[in-house]
Amino acid sequence: MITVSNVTKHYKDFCLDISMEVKEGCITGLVGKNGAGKSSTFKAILGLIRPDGGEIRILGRDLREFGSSDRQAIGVSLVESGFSGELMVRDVTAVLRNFYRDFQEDRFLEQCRNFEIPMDKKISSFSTGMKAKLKVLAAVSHKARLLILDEPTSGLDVMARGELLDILRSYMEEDEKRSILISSHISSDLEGLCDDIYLIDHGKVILHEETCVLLDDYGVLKVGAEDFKKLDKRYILRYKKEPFGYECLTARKQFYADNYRGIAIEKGNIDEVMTMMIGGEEL
Amino acid sequence: MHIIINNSSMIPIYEQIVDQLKESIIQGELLADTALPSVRGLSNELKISALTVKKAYDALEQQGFVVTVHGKGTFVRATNPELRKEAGQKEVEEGFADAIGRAKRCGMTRQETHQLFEIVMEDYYDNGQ
Amino acid sequence: MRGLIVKDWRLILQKRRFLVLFLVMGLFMGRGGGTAALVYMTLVAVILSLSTVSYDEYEKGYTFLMTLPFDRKTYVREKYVFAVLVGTVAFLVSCAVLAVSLTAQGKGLSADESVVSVFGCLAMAVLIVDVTLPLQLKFGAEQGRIALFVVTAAVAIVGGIGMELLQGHVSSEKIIEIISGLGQWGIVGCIIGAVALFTLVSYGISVRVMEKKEF
Repeated sequence: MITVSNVTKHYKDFCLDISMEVKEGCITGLVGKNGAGKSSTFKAILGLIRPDGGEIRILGRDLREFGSSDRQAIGVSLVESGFSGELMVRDVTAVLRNFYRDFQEDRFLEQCRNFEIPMDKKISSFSTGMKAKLKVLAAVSHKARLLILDEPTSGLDVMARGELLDILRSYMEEDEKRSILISSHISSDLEGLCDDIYLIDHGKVILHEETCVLLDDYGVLKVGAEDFKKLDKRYILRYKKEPFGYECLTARKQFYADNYRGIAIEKGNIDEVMTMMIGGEEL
Repeated sequence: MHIIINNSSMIPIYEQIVDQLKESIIQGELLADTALPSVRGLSNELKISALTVKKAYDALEQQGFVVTVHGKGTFVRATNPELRKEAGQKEVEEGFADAIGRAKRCGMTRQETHQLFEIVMEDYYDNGQ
Repeated sequence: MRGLIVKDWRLILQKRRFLVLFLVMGLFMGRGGGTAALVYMTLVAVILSLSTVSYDEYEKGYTFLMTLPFDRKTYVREKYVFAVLVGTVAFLVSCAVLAVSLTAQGKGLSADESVVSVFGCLAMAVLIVDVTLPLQLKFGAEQGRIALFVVTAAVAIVGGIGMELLQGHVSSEKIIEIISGLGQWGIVGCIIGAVALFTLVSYGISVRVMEKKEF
């Protein structure tokens, strides 16, 4: 659905150099610190900025040849930007109706009601959470084949986040061929949703892994200094000095579980992996 | 049947799914030709990645418990007692490996291990435990 | 383009108080008769429609807006079309109001002076859009206003200098002679021609600015 090939863009502080892919029928997550290049990647994919080099293909077409009818198939939700605050949901409904061929108005209105989004108040008066819900609902209400969501759950409390993620899940169930590219700071959201994860730092992809591999095979070992010296380091990706000794990130935790009985191993999760990949040392 | 995933377990999630589905099939809870939930449907229900479910289904197919029909879904295959026994035997083998490994590590000789094995065998096969 | 027009239309409608105020002021101006009110209303309408650019821009609105299904060219086109639409509506409304108030006062209007002033007023409205829009798109609504001021001042200065130079060579009587010779409709034709040209140039610039822009 999305293919980003060696896309580069030079900024003042850093350089973006990305290759990534979102496959049909998949949910791909993007994780990274603020300023790591997530938003720039999204902007490049959406055609908002022009890369210095590389190629982007969306829905089988080169982005440079992307036209307005191609955009019908894409649903977007961004963090800082949305419909004008002066408009009300009533207005947004009319706008969406006139923009998108396949706008599902009844469904959209029903969802707004379910989420208690007021129809006749200016969007500028909404809470952050409500604005976020509106954005996502707008994105999933016109039968888009591809969703591009930049931190759709930011500002939402746990309950609302769960509800929103469920909306995304049912969206995927309706059509097997749909795909989602989603970024978030809340790793647990991504762990329960995404099929694969890209870790970005300083404009580059530092890790790309299937979620199940990340959760099942990755782990963080905790060893004392002496044991660290004797440790078979073949499968250690990163290590970090700690007061008790060392923390080591591995993609083969089963190997260490089998060969070092009683070794302290923590299950891998996105936060841990990211912390170690970015902050840990390479061997 | 409902699959329950333990996220904090060290056992890989797809393995948990495989085990539970296998159990149901062997026990006859899931009858032959029953359709398993769609990959996306099950992943949504369990709140995990779809690839994990796919991995589980693929593993089950490889082990002969299910068959995937392209475009239609994944269906339970008729189990025969052979499969049941085979699955059981594999577990026994794993149990043996674990026990013998432990015996070795705590310093027991081959003979001592064998002796202990015979004692336990007696308990179960001869004395009706 | 429909979606964009709906959006801009609803944005303007939100400024209800503003609209009412302008209407009231327009009515006051209309009481004296004459075409001042017409000009006023049409200008206000045009400026109002240009304000939609600042709404689009507000709080990084462009970033999201540009992901919606329309071409950048269409975006530019819509701004011109919208300005013309709103200007036309305001113009017609104020014509009606003027006609009503004149009839009520038992006055009539000379057709001659009306035609030229009507076209002149419409032309001015379009020219304002032609100059303002590219500046707004290039420099943003805020900077665009400053740029507009600078450009207007520059034009005034250049125009002044030009007049000075011309006065030396061509007598003003000659100029008046030429213009009168054209007749009412001739003048209108010239105005339309000039405006069309300006608009085309402005459109071209605006499109180029938008296509290059990054969000």
